[in-house]
Amino acid sequence: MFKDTFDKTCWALLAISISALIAMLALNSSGEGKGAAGLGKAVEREMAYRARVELIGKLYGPVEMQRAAGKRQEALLKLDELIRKYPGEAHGHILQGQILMEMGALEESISSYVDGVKLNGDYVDKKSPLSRRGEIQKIVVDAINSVGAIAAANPDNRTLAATVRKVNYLKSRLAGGCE
Amino acid sequence: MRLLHLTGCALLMVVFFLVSGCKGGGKRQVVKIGYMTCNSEEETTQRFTPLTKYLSDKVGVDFVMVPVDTNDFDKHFKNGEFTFTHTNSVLYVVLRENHGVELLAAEKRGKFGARTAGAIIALKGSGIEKLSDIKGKRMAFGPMLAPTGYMAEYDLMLAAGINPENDLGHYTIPSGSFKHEKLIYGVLYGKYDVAAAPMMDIEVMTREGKINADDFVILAQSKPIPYCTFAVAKGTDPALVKKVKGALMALKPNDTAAVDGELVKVMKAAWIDGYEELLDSDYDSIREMAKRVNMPPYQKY
Repeated sequence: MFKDTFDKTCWALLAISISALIAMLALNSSGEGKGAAGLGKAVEREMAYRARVELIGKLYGPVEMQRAAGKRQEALLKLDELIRKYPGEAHGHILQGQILMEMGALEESISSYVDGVKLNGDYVDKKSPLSRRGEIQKIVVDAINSVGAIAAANPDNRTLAATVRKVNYLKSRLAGGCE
Repeated sequence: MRLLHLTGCALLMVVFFLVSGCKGGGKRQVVKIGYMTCNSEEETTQRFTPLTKYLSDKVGVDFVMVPVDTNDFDKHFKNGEFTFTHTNSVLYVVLRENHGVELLAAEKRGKFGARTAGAIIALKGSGIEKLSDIKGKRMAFGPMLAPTGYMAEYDLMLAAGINPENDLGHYTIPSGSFKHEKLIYGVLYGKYDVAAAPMMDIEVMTREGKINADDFVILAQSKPIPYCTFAVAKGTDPALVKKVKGALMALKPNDTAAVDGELVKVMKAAWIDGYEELLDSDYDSIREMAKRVNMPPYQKY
């Protein structure tokens, strides 16, 4: 079996090959595990996202209903409560911005949209189910036309300058800029 | 000769030290701010003493607070009793029209920033569901110079074809202080059928847990209009005006002022969220309302 050097070399090479094969199989199986784990995390993320969308619908549904019925002030009062209860949740700010805009409070509406988008960029992402990109685009265009002109005529006015900065922030987020 | 020279120098030095001493430790300029009394003089003093102190610290002038009754404000201002004014927006329009005061800054508070709205409210379930239902009912208004406690609601009623003088059962203005709160509670506890309520008060009372917003029906609501406003007498030193405006605009939630040996948060004490620079044209909506409602400064007899 180990008569000469050739035999010894053959056996040694065979042992090395078997070891390499075992090692490769082991590595391969652990890589598959990682892939499966990655897929699991993606599913978890998707599930959490869907759950969030559903929760938002449930939490803010009554506010949306009041708004749809023309009871904007009642909706604002309810929102005030929800924003204090869930300060990190962007949806309340976005909805508040929408209602304030309908009530003719442009500057406060813009501030509210900015707060919402800062908390969650999904509202300017056209692929997101939460997207409000269209209405934010419209607000930006309207604000540039109205506030922009007044701010240009009153360059020392700090409040108008601050509103213009907020409009520009929304504009940059719509263009794909990050927070 | 030499002795005379030395004496002269010593005298000059004494005069120099006296003069420089006066400059360093002398009294600062005193400037008065007239604050329109809101709910009561005591409450107004408590709210705005820290702000007045803050302005003194920032501007380097000794500001003195003068609480003034709403109805006497124009008279006292005309008498030159104060230079800066802190009033509601109707009174600002009156002072602007009558004496040419210049706008400084408007107070931010609540959902509409430097603006707020007036609303006509009723108790939910009372059978009053829409504005036309208020005919023949008992109504309470806020003080007669209140932009969102009287003027805005009166205007809403006129626009809906309801004449408050003829079409209501009767209307009243609660007596004493805290009128806005009184009339909201009055609706809640059945003393009045409807009331002219500033949205600011409903917002604050809801937030403080004093009322539940769901207990009320909002029958009509005005557009947001400017609210409390700082202004200054025409011809005041522009450098002083610029400093005061800058100090108001720079005010932050953590800014404090020492009052009676205690450090007090200025914005919290004054119940405000900051200041905004509005344009005088932002008050045009108030001017139009005042004309329609026949209120000062456009009142015709």
